[in-house]
Amino acid sequence: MTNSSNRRSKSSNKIVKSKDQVVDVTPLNSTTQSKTSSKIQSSSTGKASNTKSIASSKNLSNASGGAVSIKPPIEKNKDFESNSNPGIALGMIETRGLVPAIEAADAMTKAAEVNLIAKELVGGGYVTVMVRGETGAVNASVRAGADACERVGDGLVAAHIIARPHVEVEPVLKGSGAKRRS
Amino acid sequence: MEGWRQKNRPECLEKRFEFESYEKTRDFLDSLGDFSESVNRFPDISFGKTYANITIRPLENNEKEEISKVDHEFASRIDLLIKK
Repeated sequence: MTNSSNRRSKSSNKIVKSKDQVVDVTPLNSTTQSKTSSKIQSSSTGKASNTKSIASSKNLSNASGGAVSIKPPIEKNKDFESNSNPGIALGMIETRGLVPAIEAADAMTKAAEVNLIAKELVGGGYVTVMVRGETGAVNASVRAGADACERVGDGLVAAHIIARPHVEVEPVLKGSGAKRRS
Repeated sequence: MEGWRQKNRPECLEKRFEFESYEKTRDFLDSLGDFSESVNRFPDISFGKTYANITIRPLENNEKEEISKVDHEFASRIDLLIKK
């Protein structure tokens, strides 16, 4: 008997063990706003038909070239239950080197309720990390990310926050999947 | 409203703030963040270690999408954050 995936589950107070929790990770659709469609299934029997178990750490990109983000468990993400449009503000941090970029991404996602939508290697050792969410959250997130990466390696190159990106910009806001650039 | 430049197409107000150190830049951004939360209005922000560029765009409910007195007042209040 399979349990239907239900993001509106009322078991908000129930702690789901990581081994019983599986997450579907799907690439972002470039024509839509950055909205992940992760489904969370709780399997009491431990069986999963077409799902992957994802480690608790968030991925910055997947092998197929699309950008993915993993949402936290439902009980920590209630704002998204009734809002199919989680936020449109865009935050970007550019660093020189991958280490400060990862530090920035970690700090940004921990600081506020934002989605990590892309990590881009733009050449010359520069890395750009992008997040989206509500404007206030993106604002706080980018400040926290800049603060974190400023002390690491060559540190912060630039940070930018756009409160309302134009819809024509949306296709650009996804990772190219480039793994290395000279 | 000293230092603010009004640009066209699209209309916006821009100003560059320079700081001596990243700590001062961060202090300003924190103040701006708190102020933005209080008035529920968020400008576009671009910053580095010793500078911050602030861009104020017309409000969403501004049908003409033109800079108005409300936007100028918002800019003036941002200037006050520096003087604090």
